Amino acid sequence: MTAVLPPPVAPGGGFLLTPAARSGVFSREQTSEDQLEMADAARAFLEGEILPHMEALEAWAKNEAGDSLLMIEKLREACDLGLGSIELPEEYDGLGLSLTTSLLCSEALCACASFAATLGAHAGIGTLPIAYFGNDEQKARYLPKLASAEIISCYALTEPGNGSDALHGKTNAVLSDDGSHYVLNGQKQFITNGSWADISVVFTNIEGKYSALIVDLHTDGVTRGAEEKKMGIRGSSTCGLIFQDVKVPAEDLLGQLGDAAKIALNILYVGRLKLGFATMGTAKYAITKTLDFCTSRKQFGRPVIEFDAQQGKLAEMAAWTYACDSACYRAIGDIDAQIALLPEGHTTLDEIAILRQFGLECAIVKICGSETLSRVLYHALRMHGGYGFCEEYQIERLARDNVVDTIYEGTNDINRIVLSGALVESAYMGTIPFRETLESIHSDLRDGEDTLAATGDYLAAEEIRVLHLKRALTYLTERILIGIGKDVRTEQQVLFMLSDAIMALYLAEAAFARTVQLGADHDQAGVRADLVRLALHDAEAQARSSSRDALAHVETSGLAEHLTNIDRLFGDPTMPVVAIKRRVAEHFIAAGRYDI
Amino acid sequence: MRVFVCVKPVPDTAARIKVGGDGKTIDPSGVKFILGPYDARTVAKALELKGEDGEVVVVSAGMGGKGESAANKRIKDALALGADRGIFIADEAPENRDPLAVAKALATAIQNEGGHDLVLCGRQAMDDQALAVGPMLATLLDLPCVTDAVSLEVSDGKAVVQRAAEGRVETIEVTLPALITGQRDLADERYPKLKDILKAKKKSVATFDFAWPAPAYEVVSLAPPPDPVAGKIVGEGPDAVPELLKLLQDEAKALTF
Ligand SMILES: Cc1cc2nc3c(=O)[nH]c(=O)nc-3n(C[C@H](O)[C@H](O)[C@H](O)COP(=O)(O)OP(=O)(O)OC[C@H]3O[C@@H](n4cnc5c(N)ncnc54)[C@H](O)[C@@H]3O)c2cc1C
Repeated sequence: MTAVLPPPVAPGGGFLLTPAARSGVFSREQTSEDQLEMADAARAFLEGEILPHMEALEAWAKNEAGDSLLMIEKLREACDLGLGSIELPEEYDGLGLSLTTSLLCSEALCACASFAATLGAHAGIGTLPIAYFGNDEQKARYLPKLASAEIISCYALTEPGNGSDALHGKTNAVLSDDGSHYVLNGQKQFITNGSWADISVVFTNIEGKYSALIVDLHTDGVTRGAEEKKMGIRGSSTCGLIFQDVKVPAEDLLGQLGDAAKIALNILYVGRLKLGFATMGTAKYAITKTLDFCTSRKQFGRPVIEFDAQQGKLAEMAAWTYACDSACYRAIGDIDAQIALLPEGHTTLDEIAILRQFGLECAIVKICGSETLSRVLYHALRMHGGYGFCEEYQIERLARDNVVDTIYEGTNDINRIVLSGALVESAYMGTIPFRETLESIHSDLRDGEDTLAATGDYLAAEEIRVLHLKRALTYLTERILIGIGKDVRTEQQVLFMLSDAIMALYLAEAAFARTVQLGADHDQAGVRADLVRLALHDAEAQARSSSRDALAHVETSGLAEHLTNIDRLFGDPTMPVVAIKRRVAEHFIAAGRYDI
Repeated sequence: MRVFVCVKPVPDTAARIKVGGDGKTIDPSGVKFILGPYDARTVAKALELKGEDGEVVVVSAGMGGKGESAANKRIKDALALGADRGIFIADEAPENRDPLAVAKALATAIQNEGGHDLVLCGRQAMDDQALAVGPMLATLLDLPCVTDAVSLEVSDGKAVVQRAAEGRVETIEVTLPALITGQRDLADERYPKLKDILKAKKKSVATFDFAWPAPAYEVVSLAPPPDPVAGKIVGEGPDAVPELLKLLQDEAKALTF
């Protein structure tokens, strides 16, 4: 099947205001055969070459020949297959393929975050700044060697004093009198691949402007800090980089003076998408592992998975993952649809500009991927009993590795700030039809009418629930905007409630749209419809509780009326979740794995 | 060197096999077909051996759950690993094809190509495990046959093959052309390069028409293997050893002296 590009949805939260989507939402089922084959190749590599060596990778073992670290050898093997150069241009030995293909491979290369972080720091954040912002000479000099991992790269933004506040670092570079080189001084912190990288993209002040340099780490004056002893991703390298009077040739300035923000933020958008897809893939892996365990583990004479409580957890894990998966593909589909509208001969930078417009959606993918995985692992650990606590069963490692997913590529707090900030901006700037939608909601509330109607037969009741969610959250957004007014930067708790509610809607609607599009005749239609119901139930619970708490804070008078209104907008929450969960569990037990 | 490699689509080893509604075939829904692990290694070996001007031709008959498409895709898998071209033998009724019929189809297609230095097969297909097609094909092509190869080197028109026999490794020299069936150890596992996956789409896959004979045998029924018998604890410490030996010999028949 060739990719069916959906009609564009306004970026920055446009989904809040559109009718419940019955078409035009991208999902994994619409990816092309080529793309799936590449993802299969990535998965085969993971299963054959990475997962069997997990222990050795975590222990920083050498390769068989003893002449290199096993991790470096695996990185080079992956790059030799092309897994590190999927979106690089063909003229620089890349594959020139779409971001969607790259993300499918990120998803496939899951379950070993040490390797994914190493590859991502090299081929993603360490290489893409040069691919996107480098000049032709820089690209020709670096990209082919990066594509093959002949040289290894890293990305040095964070400093000891500047983590989340990344663009105000103290590192400084001064141009020499003859203009031939910069003299770089400063310190970077927590740099993935820091111990073994050959070059680094280093963010630094130059003439008071925050900029980026490509730095050869074998130059005099570069010192690598001690390796951090970490809770997770132990097979990866994380250390500081110290620069003392390091001479960097003037031609290694990346982009223009003052381009740091442009480079750093744009790379982050891609990084957030990749992390979201990888964590979503890992959630599926964890479900399958847990199913394996609970099917063979017997207590009281029965496999543990036969106990009702465990079936409930299994169903929840599956529903969260189904919604997260749907949201990830929905986001990249909407982004691709906008890129498809660009005129012929457009540049990568035009594509990046689109990504920036979808900053809200990229933040959702990052948060929902990393936190869905956290929730799934919470269940997975406990469903393994004492074995989950032991290294042998992998879940322990996955849980340790997952923590950093919520910290890097912008902490999830920072991503929630991005999410709510973008929504507020879209609403104020009128780039999404916020006013118009509100008017219709208010007139319905005034008339005491409920004009919600499904536009299709299949999953009609679920469509109504999606509409309820959208209207309630549009109402909530307005109340919050009015309530906090110009304190929009300081009222973080309330804005986080809004972020969580909006995100819950995005996920549930994505699951709904994906399932509707596959139709009632799909051979997994039954279980998928149930997963949609559970996703909706989860989203409603999340959104209701956030809404009540937020309203209780922002409404100085008339709270009771607003609570009544929002309850009406949310509609009837009742759902036979126990029975649904049992059906869902039955499906996955029969399948023996997460097979959707 | 011109090397022919015969491959067959088999269900993914991790797939849960269910018997279909007809009680005679497996239910293909949700089952992923792959290039079998033995076949993947013979393809890898062929690519190592073919040399500068050589050619690796992949041949597959339309067997397997999804018939033509599954076999065709496995040819594509081999092409993505680096094989040069493919020959696909369409089979309208693959369910009741006995190994000899398949071997005849492969032999006819290979003979039609007018020359071969080496023909490689996996030692067995992971699904039906008949271990028959390779030796039968050798007979039909009138080639010397070495089965279960774990290593294979070629020079001066000869192949030196190591084969894993019971309790020993035999080293055999055989004159080419020859047919060799491979074990997993025959070559290191290869993974397709993403570039080659795209290139594979452009490589030629010819369709070969074979006049299939009327099926000579019929699968009467298909059933899952019986549940494994529960284990038995015969005692503790050295005292238990005689009893254990006795049971292993007489009851489990796992030991013979
Ligand atoms: C294993 C690992 C690998 C890494 N790899 C790299 C790398 O390759 N390159 C690189 O440049 N960096 C890397 N980092 C750094 C990472 O990006 C930072 O750790 C992250 O951005 C957070 O910065 P910080 O650790 O200084 O925390 P801080 O920014 O000090 O945050 C502390 C807490 O305050 C919160 N907070 C901060 N600002 C706000 C705000 N405005 N509003 C509300 N809450 C706020 C945060 O959410 C967090 O909870 C890595 C980190 C780790 C742990």
